[in-house]
Amino acid sequence: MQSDFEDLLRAAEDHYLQNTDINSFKQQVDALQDRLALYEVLRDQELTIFQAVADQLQKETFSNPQADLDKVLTHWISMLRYSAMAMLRNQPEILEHQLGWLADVVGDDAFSALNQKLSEQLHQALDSVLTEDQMTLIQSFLQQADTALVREDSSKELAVLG
Amino acid sequence: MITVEELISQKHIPGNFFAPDVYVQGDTELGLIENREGSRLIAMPETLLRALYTGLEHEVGPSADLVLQQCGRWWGKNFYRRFASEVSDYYGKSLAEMEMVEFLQSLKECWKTYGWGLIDFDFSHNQQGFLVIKIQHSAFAKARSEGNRPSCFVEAGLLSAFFSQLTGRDLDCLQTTCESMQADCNRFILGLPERVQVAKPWLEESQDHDTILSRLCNSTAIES
Repeated sequence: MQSDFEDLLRAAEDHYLQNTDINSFKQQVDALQDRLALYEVLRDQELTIFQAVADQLQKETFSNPQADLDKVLTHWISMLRYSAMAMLRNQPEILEHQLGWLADVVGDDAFSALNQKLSEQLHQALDSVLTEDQMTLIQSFLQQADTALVREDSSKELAVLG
Repeated sequence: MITVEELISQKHIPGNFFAPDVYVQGDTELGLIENREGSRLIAMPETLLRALYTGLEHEVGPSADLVLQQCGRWWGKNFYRRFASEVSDYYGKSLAEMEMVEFLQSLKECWKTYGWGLIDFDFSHNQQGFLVIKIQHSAFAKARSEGNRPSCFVEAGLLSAFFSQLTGRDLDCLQTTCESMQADCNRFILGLPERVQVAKPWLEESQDHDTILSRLCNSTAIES
């Protein structure tokens, strides 16, 4: 958010903004309203979204113990909160700073099947509560998370190669 | 059955405590830089670090290396105390109770946010009693003029004190490669003083990191 407005505000220090600047400013205000509305949906629907994800996870069989399921789910809940904040402020680095840490904590091979399934289920759950435009707004942040946390199962690749 | 309500209602879900946008805070009106716990931070410009190196060498000559290492050790003790206290408070458990991966990742993020570089750990020689630490983009090496031997004594002191406090055993640290000598990173070998010290002459003979580490591991195997 800061970066969107900063240049315009700095320019306004020594002269009035021109019409093109004002239009750009208005567009950013409109975009901020959309982002705020999406943030509210994610906040209000957090339980619905993640209960749906958890219910689907329970139907699958993983080699991980229950504690791992809770741990990974908790970190994905946290990841979506940071994604929402990064989206609201339009600052992807907010999420980036968390993903570097998360990738080491729950990103290794032992969690790869869980992360993969969780990512799929989260996309489905979000699809069912968000509009198409809202999905577009959050998509790049989900992609950021997938890149950091979801790794292809290397054993599958080896099996294919073999 | 996973009850998401319970997970969501936790007081907070710990993330990256050292995320720079949250950890470093400041009030330019008051001239303050603080961390998220309200402890005061100072920003040390490269010029000051260079001046410290040069001034110390001018004042105490060849003893400057030892002085810097002792400064690092003192700093490391305090750093450990602050790190342990902040991390334990935030994650709600002591360092000993933390998972290794959480602890290491916290230390890596802390190191990065403090602007000291990117730190990484190689545990493949722990059976022989050595931990290898690599640091890229070291702030301490950058302020050093190009030399013919590793010279990040503050870092070496800091690491030895930090891990001595962590393990409860007196540990020593030997730097084997240095970015100030155009190496790809700073490398440090950490271990018991009597085991690490034997490598000092090898370093003076300009033996490389792999050779020194291999000789250290072999000498440990022969002793045992």
